[in-house]
Amino acid sequence: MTDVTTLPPLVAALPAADGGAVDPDEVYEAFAAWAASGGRPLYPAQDEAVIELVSGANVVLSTPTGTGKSLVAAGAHFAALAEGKRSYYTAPIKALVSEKFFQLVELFGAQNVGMVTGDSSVNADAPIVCCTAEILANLALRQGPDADVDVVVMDEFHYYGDPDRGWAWQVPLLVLERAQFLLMSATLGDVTTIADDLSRRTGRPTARVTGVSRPVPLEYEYVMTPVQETVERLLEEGKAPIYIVHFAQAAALERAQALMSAKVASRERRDQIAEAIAGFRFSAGFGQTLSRLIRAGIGVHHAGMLPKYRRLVEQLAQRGLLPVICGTDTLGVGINVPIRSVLLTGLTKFDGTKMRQLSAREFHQIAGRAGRAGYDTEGDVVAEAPEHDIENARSLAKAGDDPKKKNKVKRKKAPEGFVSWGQASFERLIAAEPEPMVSRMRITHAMVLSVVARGGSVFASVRDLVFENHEPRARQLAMARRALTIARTLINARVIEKVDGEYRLAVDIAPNFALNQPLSPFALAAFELLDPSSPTYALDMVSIVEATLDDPRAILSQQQFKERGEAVARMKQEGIEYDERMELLEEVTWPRPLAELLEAAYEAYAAEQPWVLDFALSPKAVVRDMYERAMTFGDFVRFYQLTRSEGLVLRYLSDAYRTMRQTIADEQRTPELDDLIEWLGEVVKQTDSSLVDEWEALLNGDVLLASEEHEEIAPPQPARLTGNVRAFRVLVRNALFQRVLLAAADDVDGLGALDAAAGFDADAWDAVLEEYYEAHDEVGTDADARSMQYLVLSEQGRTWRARQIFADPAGDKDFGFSATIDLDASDEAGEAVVRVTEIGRFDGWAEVDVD
Amino acid sequence: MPITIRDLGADDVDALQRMLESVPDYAERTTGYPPGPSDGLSALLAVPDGLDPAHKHGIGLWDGSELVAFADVLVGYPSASFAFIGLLVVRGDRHGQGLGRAMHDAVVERARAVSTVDRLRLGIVATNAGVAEPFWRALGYEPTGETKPYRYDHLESTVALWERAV
Repeated sequence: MTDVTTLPPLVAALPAADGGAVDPDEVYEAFAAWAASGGRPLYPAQDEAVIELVSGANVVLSTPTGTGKSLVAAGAHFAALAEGKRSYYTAPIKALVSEKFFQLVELFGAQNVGMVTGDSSVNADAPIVCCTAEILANLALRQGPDADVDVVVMDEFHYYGDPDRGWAWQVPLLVLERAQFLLMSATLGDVTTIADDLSRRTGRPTARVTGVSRPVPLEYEYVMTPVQETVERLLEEGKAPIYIVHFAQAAALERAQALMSAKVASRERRDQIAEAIAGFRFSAGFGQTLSRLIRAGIGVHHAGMLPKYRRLVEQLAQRGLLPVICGTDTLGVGINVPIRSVLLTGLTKFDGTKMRQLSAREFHQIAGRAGRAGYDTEGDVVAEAPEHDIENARSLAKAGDDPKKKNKVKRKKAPEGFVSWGQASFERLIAAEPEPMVSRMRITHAMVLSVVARGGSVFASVRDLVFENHEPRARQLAMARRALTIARTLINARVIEKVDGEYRLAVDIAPNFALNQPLSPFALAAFELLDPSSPTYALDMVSIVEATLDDPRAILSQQQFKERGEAVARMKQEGIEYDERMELLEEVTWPRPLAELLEAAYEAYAAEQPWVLDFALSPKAVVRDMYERAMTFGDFVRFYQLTRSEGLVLRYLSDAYRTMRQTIADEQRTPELDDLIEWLGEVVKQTDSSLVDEWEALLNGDVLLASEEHEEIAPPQPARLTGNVRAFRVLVRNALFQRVLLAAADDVDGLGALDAAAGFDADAWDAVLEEYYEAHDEVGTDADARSMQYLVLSEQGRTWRARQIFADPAGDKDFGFSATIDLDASDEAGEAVVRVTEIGRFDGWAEVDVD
Repeated sequence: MPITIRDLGADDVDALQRMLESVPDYAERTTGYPPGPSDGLSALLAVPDGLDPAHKHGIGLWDGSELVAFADVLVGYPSASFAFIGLLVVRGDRHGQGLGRAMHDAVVERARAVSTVDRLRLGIVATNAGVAEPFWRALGYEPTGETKPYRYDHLESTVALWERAV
């Protein structure tokens, strides 16, 4: 992605409209002159594309990475603005949308640029709007060909072939026949059919700008040396920065750690890095590991990391400080990490069901990242041979010319199920054009409903959508059947009706109902099923919201793994036989609170609002689990061994937080629920504030502030933890209750780990619990045991004092512990810093300074 | 002009739509609405949940290029020994010419060609019973006694299942 932000504001270059009409030549001249004045005159391909655009043609721009597609997109918006037209920019990922939004604000000014994603909407009426492909597709369905969309720029257009999301790239092409399109991607393959179809629909010629040679040519090499040796050689040859491509997040991190033994960065470079990251707060766990790696000049980059760490690695890479980055193949989509060499550790990947060779598109998406425009004279793409091939070749080489020795060499076989590759596959991939994209059109309740909401000839519009798309005939017929079934379902649910032979809406439907947390209306209905006076009301509300969120697979499978482990232990204790155990184990899943209630409610709701059937309800407990286990973010990640997926956990928690804030009405809130929401928000902010702060600033319409947050190099320091007393109090209570939970499980090692530093090790806790369990059978852990009945908390000054009492069955309240909470230390640490001062039976204790 | 029998293809949907619009009473009685724009497509394509669409045959009686009667038959539905008649309809201005019976003969012939099928089955919506029952009874069908609820928007009724041997 070209950094267009360094150019002067483009809006000043707009030619004056002459009596309402603008001359295309003048627009082109103005744009070209502006680009040249910024020191980046248009390349021939950019030039050609911009000329086609100002003359009103569609453009399919499939030029390699680094050929300045962003500048052409800017040209499209520029031409549209000059003619008083409305232009849209779409990208597949929200992060890219906001990246582009801030870039376009720089170029065209905040008043001219808006952004709409599922999460937020800023200045949505602006002449230039950035949005996800789904937003534009929905707009097209809802408003039809007359939608106020004159120019559409679709970035990463190869998503057209994505099995799940491709429909959103196709729908605008089908519906917006008045618009002018700019379709861009580095890896499109043959687009003749799509281009011809687009010309026919829009009545505009469609220019294809393709096959441009890269500004930085690529050198390819297939190597028979182990990764570490290859890396060392590339470093010696001055071919850093090297991006080492892995096909699993775990592999990327392992490689980075293995490379610690190689000399990646010079002393001087390491000092520069240390200076650059001074003041950056690395949390425990993965953060500490990353800190060590980065200091050695090795970056790690994958989607499971916290955004603040990903951004840090990107920033350091942009400054050229990291000679090596170990990452995954997802780098392809719009991440701005300049690299000289790409080292592929393999040419196969697991695609969710099986191992297979990379497609030409996948290969070129990755390989195309090599070579920095305006910096390198060439980019290097190096592929490793399979490990066993390398080892065999080495053993043979050792044997030398002696035929006897040669025969003795034991050849290593590929591991079972290994899908191999060789130099021939590499060369085939290099030569291959990306495969033609396959149409992935679909029809859903939400799509039909959007078309009905548009009005007019609904049947004709749906029929066109079904029969006039890019699918083969047989699939069109299947889609027609589906559409008919959907219509029948919607009629019987009385969501739509027939009026004068046409389909019409029978109820009010919000414009973005299917986009912004599509199950929120269901959640609203389900809230009514709960009794606010129930002791579990607040947590049950959380469970309803959680059931409507997308499944965070990695977390759920770890929860299931843990539950199964515990179930096995329990069943063994109960003497259940192996076979039966295995059978029972199949039924053990991750926690699904309120599953029965919610599934019944969902079924009833779907009978009236069948479009919710497009989305799956999925009861789960991540927020609730974390709260009930009284854990911090770090505790939770450690407990479920999610170190590699911190970023995923955070994204889920921040989705949950946003949804709760947006969905739960004031009258449904209780003080406890408010505390819980505040707590969750604080957990997210203290872990990585970049997501929430930017979102809140945008929500308040403060583009300038959001822009600052966005451009901050180190993530903004989170606000003082203790500044939010409500949330902080929950954190303190969680920290105290965590010890109650451990005491209830008689886990003295766990308690010792927490409090040994304060003078209460496992032995000390063991002695106390022995005494306790002589007097009582158990420690209560229910909502009651968590309540203020069992907690005395004095919130005075910068040191709070607390006494946590164990809920014993007899109600004697004679055991527990006291602690102090250091507020300043808590602010520093980003979590409640609790120091236990006394444990055991409450007699002869120092008085806690409370009534 | 001789009447010919030919299965409808997707290109014949407009002819089917025109014919259904020539008998508006049928749609009125079974949906509570006049014929809708999607009725032709639906009669030609829609199949019950889970049935392979290849098992649905839309058979037409053609007078030249004009469709004068239509029947759809689901072979192997609800189980292998049945052929289920989804719809049998004659063009509004061609009633009383024996076209319904001729259409039915074509259906029977189609069912006979499938060795596993020995029963013909169909459903009569109660709101359409006055017209439909005498027709089917004359062709040898009897009620099985089984009925199911039927609903289309505001129209709530029942559907009775009738059968005869092939």
